[in-house]
Amino acid sequence: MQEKIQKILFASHFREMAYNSLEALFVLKKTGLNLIVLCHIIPREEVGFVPFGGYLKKEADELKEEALIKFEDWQKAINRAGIESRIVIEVGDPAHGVARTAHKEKADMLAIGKGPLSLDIATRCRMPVLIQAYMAPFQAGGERAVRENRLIFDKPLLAAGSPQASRRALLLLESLAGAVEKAAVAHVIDKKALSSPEIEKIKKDETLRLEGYCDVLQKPGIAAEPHLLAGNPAEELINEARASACSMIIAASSDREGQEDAPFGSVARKLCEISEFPVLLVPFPPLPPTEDLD
Amino acid sequence: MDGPKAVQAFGEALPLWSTVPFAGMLLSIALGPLFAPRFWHGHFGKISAFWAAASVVSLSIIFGQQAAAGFLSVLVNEYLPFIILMGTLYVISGGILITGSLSGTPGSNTALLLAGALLANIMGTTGAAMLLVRPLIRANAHRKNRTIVMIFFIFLVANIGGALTPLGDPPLLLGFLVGVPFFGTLRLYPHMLLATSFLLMVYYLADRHIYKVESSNPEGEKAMRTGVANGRPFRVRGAQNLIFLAVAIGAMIAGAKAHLGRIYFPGGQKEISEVLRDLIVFLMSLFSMLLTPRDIRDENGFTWFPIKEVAIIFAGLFIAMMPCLAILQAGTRGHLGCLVHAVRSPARYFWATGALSSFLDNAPAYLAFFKTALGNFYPGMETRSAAMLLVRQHPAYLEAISAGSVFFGAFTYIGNAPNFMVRSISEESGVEMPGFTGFMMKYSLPVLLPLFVLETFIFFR
Repeated sequence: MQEKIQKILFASHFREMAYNSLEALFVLKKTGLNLIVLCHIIPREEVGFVPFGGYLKKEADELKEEALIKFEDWQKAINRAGIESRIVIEVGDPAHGVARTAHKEKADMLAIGKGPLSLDIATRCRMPVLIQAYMAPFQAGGERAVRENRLIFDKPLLAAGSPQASRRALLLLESLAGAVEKAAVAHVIDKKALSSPEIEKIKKDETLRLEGYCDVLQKPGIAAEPHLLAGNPAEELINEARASACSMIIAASSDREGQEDAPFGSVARKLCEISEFPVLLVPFPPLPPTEDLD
Repeated sequence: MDGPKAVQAFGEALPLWSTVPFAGMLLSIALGPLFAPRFWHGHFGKISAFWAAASVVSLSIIFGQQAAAGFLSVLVNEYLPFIILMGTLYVISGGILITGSLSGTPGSNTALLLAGALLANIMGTTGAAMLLVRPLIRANAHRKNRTIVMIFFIFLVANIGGALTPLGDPPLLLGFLVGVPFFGTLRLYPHMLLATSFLLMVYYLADRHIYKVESSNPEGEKAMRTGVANGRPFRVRGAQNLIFLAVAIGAMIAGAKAHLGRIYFPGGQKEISEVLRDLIVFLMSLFSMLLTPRDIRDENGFTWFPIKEVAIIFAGLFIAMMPCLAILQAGTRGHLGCLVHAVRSPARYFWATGALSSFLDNAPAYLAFFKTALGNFYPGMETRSAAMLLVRQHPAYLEAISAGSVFFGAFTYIGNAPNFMVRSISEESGVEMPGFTGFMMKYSLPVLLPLFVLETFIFFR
């Protein structure tokens, strides 16, 4: 069983509706969440390296104070939800700074907003990373729409990749029982396999595997349904999430990807880029910690 | 533009007002960060582009193709190789990570300053400063007064240390790119030896006193003991970058010696060996980016921003200073003949280059007085040939210009680009750094001024 998510690092750049995204995490109190670390990294380039000048200390202090006031306001709501909180505000490289703080704080999960840096941050982390936008615009059937991601743990869709990767995602989902009551478990059959003479066997094996995952989830009380799909993995997973009224997508990196510098594969990356759903990325098991330079 | 007569005629014909964009650019660099740092930080690119455009447009209207060709030649022959090499040194040094920590005692700090000063000659003052600034701050984390070590770090590692090779400091690199032999700057070793020994000695004595005061109470003594005990041995990661550095240096030396013919472009020409040199140097930065683990750059706080700033500001500088340099190169027959007349001895060159380097950037200051010397001795002669003659016939002048620009770059925060980077990183790490005036009054004037007087009496009389 995966250890409970007790500590979340919530990194924010104070974009629109950032607080609503934070609020969506409070439900994890039911599954053991007891501390949220609020983190804001002021981009070094905004206050440092002034050509021939140096560092804008006053500006940095002002930005820190501004972030502190916002976070202190958020803390009231966090405390009302019965969760403890802490604040970290630093100047640095945002991607590295967030990942570094998450590791330093030994966070069980990192929550970040969807933006140009989200994948950059996620690939530096060795803990589950939730990438979310509270109001997410998307296009479906030629029409534009906006999805409100409020109850994000209502019904996750677990993207079942390789058995080992799926196991990690499954364990994480299992640990969320209490906040999650229903789930969908989906696997997309590779295009190459569709023309294979063994396609029937593959379908049978994968169906059995998905049903096995659903059985595992039933035990802690998550009602799960299997979905065997075929086609473009990312697109099919998103379509299925829409069709099954899911609230987020959970995707794990395959073992091969996990050994590389970038721990997430193309499907996970594409999901993050095009999906209107929050995506919870489960990376390869932690690498040995790097030497702490501080 | 390259023919001696054409250079001479162009330099003589250029009016004095054509130097206004250069003066404007230099004043912007000097005054912007001082009086309007926020505005300067947000708009330095536009300001740089404005002065460059003012220079290009006004001269192109009057001189037409001749001016346009001159600007193109400067960009291809000087700016491009300059920024490629600066960028490569920056990328390579950002790929080397020093972990562990020294104990922050006056002795170990002095050793680190000396190592940094020597390293600056191989990886540039920017590279050496970026490589060592964080380890130095870590080593002194337990110290109450960390300002003095950072100030001497600016003096030695970010400036004076880089006096021996063209890789060391941007002014010397510019000299190399316009014809000074690669090893020509080694002649500065006595000057550098004196300056380095003097500064290390002053630093050691001052910091030993501060260290004693800091350890004089029980609390301070405990902090010192903990700090010394926390010292961990150094470890270097990303050592493959040393190979890339060696190849880049090899390419620079070979590029200056080999002659494989020339490529002609509108308004100028370029040695094929120099094109290959730039290509190899650029490739080394690519290899460094590709083959260095990302976490090394993360831990070094590597960001493209400082080198982007240098690229933008120097693009403006190179363009805006072209007319001024052409006038100076025309010697007494140009519109700045009075300046050429006024600066006649090595001592004057040392102080004049130094004065300009202190309050404006030292790279253009070097080029301005280098061209003044060429205009003085070889008016109108093609730059490379004149530079070779200057090295052979009047080496003391070149030494004075080189030492003046490199040494005086340490005099203020705006004297040399790495100064502001060190200041920025120090302040971000919580080290109290003096303001512009405080830096000069408390440190530059009492420490550097006597040193420069001594240098003048010994080497430039």
